[in-house]
Amino acid sequence: MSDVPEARTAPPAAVRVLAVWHRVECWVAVVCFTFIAVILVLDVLGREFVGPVFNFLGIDVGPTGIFASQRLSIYALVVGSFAGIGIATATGSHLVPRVGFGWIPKSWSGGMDRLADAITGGFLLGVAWYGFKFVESSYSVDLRAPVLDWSVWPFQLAIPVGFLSAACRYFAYALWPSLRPGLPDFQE
Amino acid sequence: MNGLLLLGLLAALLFLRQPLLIILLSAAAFIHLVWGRGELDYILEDMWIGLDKELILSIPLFILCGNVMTRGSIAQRLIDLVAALTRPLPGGMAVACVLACTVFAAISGSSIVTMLAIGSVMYPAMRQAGYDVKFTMGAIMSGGTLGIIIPPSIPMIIYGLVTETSIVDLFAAGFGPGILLTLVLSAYAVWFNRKRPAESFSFDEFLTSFRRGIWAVLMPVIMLGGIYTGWFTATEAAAVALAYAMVIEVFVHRELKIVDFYNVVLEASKLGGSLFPVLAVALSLNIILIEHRIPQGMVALMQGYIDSPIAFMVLVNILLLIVGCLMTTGEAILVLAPLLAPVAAAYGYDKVIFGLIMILNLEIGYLTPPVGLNLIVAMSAFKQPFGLLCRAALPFILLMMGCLALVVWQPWIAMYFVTGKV
Repeated sequence: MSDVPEARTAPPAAVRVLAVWHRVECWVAVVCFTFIAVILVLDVLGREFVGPVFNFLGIDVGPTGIFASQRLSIYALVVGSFAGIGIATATGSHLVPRVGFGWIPKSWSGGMDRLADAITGGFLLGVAWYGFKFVESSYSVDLRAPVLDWSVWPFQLAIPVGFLSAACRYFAYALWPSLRPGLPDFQE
Repeated sequence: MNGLLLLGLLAALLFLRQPLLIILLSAAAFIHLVWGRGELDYILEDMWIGLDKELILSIPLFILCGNVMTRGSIAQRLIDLVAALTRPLPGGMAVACVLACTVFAAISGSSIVTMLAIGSVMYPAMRQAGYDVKFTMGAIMSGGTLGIIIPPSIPMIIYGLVTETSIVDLFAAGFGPGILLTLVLSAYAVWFNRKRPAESFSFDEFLTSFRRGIWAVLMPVIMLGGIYTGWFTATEAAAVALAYAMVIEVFVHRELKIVDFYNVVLEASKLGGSLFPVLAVALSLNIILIEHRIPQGMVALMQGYIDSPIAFMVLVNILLLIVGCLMTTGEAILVLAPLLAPVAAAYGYDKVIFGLIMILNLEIGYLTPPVGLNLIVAMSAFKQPFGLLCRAALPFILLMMGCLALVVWQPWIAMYFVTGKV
């Protein structure tokens, strides 16, 4: 993207902010997905292998799985996935149907991409707003998680925060197109 | 009128290059505003409900497992093992390519990963052995598509989630068509190369490659065996497979260091970040469609025009083949499966067999221009012109369409592993 005009080149501070922000989101997602993998693997191994081995030896060790492992994993999945919206935005990994790409001349592509980013950002901002309304209603009725009996709103908060993060990033791309990641050659 | 407005909105969003996430959210918002009570925060609530399913956990685990197992030398080990077995056949190396894709597909769940992993080893080897370039590319590209039909398959899990179909049944049903395609592609490989001299079988070579490859081959056996025998659920099987993959790659093959795990998880997070929010919105849209009885409306509309289930199936197959040319598998399943599966059920097609037929159609879409992903990826990975790749894929497409027709005509090919009945 070095061929963009100077006026559209992002200030170094914006580049740094987006890089740090991306790193934070990567770590959140990695921690969440690692947590899911570890807790589910330990739960299954505990229930299907460790428990039966102790039973076979005649030793009663009680439940050998991890309590509420699947429920905890679902919440980790929600947090990790919505941190992943930002990662997918930063790496250009969102699924984008390309049917309409040929409907305008190629020379208009740059402008169209900026317009697309601005619209996507605006739309995601709206979704984030409704997301916060949804979380607020959960908070006000103190909606609690089955099995764990924890308030669910802190986990639900990942949804609007994820949308807000992606929205801000799209606005940054509309403002400074040099920051925009290219679309991948293919998406499965 | 409102239906036309919705179509216009979707066309405008396609024109404006919007991500699938935005397109689905817009459709959901439109339905809430026009036909519902206009409470847009219900979309978020439905997304939360949609993601709050324990079955969904199998997706990140299978993605992680595939990422762990498909790095390093697994592909080479599998190829060495099957090549040792197929050496006595004419065109043995081509058959080895198809069989290696089959076994690799049972580990990776992705068409492109399967094609690249096997193709990067088989392409130079087959060319060096004098195999025709068109045939070689056709075998690699079509073998790669087995990645989504042989379980575990991410498209099958997505179909299962959006249509509320048993994923274990879908996995079981993928087995028969997977074997059929493997046999047909292998038979074609032998026939096409019938004039090539066969080589002799070497027991020593087999033993060496068996020792090197057995750990990789055992993985699908443990995972799929666990699911089919009812010992594991899909999520548990994914967890066991991940644990197995980690142990094998860290301690046996010694090709994965703990620090590499960060990159493996990050890759999975990237995929998850693009997939799960879209999946959540699709599930939310699904809830609204059901609330507004849209699938029932579609059933009534279709049945007004088409009486015969066979005519319906022919039309749906034509539609899906066209869709496969224009959309990726994930997009097509998320958008069309919730609409078409209830209609198929009304014509007497079980949701499991319909899912398999849908995925078989979309599998062919990997080889058809303009968005045949295996064609596009092969073009840059193997440095071949697009036209040559299209021509190379053609005989394989015809064979795969023949297999699809056979599964439509004789659904027991897929359902035998689900019901145990012919």
